[in-house]
Amino acid sequence: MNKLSMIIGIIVMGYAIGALFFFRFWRESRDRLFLMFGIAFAVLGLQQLLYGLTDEASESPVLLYLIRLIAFVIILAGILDKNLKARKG
Amino acid sequence: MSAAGLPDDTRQFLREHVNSIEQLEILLRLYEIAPRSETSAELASALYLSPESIERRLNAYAEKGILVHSGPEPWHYSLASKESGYGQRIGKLARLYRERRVSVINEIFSNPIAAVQTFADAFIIGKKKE
Amino acid sequence: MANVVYILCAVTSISCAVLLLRSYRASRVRMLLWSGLCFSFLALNNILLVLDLTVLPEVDLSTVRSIPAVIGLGLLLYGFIWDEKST
Repeated sequence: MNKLSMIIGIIVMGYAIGALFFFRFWRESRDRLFLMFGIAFAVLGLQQLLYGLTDEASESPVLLYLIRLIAFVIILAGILDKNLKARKG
Repeated sequence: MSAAGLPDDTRQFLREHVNSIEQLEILLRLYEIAPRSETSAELASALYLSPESIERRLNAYAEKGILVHSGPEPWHYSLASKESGYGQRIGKLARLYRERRVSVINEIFSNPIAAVQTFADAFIIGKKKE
Repeated sequence: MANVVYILCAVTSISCAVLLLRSYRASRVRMLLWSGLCFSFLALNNILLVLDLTVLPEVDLSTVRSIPAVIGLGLLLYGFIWDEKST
């Protein structure tokens, strides 16, 4: 058992719990932004989980960084959606 | 305190949807004039409130489905329906406000404002600050 | 290619941090402070990833670069749990 594995485990849980909070906020407020953040955080947690399961040290394999890209695109989409809705009224 | 006497569904409705007297008056007015509609400017002058902040409240309620808006700009807002769940709860709230005004006001001010909503609002770029 | 992605992630994180911290300055709602700091640390995590891959490939920064993510997420969860409601 090495320190990096423990750290990755902490990060996975951090993203997972964060995602759960975002989903709850979405349920309470019906604001789609929270749904988007929740999905993004779940994806980021998944990415770290996959990273933890591989032997790579670097997070450079294509799959790993593409998944991270997807998560951040979801966040950007959520912010865009929020602002378009705010303008439409 | 006296707020303990309010029915649970009313208290929940207030907790979820009504954080200020201004919001309360908007809902009660639109209930009163339903099914007619008004623009935010008409509402602002009827209630002696500022049009910008009324506009934000109205849009928030429209997004939740409590109100509907129609027409080309300027939007006309009206209660979605008097018979729906929301409509009935607002009707009940209107009656309670007439009969037990102090209890309703106390209940509104006893709710802490959810910090959660401020998180979502932070991501609106370039909105007018109240 | 990985670098481009991680830089984009850093930029997005910084943008989120700026929006949240700006709102915190205006409203003093504490949850915004913690979440703003979280995204700042996530941005740092992405920047360190880029450094690890390109600038310092011979040094293994795996552990070091993950620490900001732990701190950031810790602050976020603290803010969500402790400061969810504010008067």
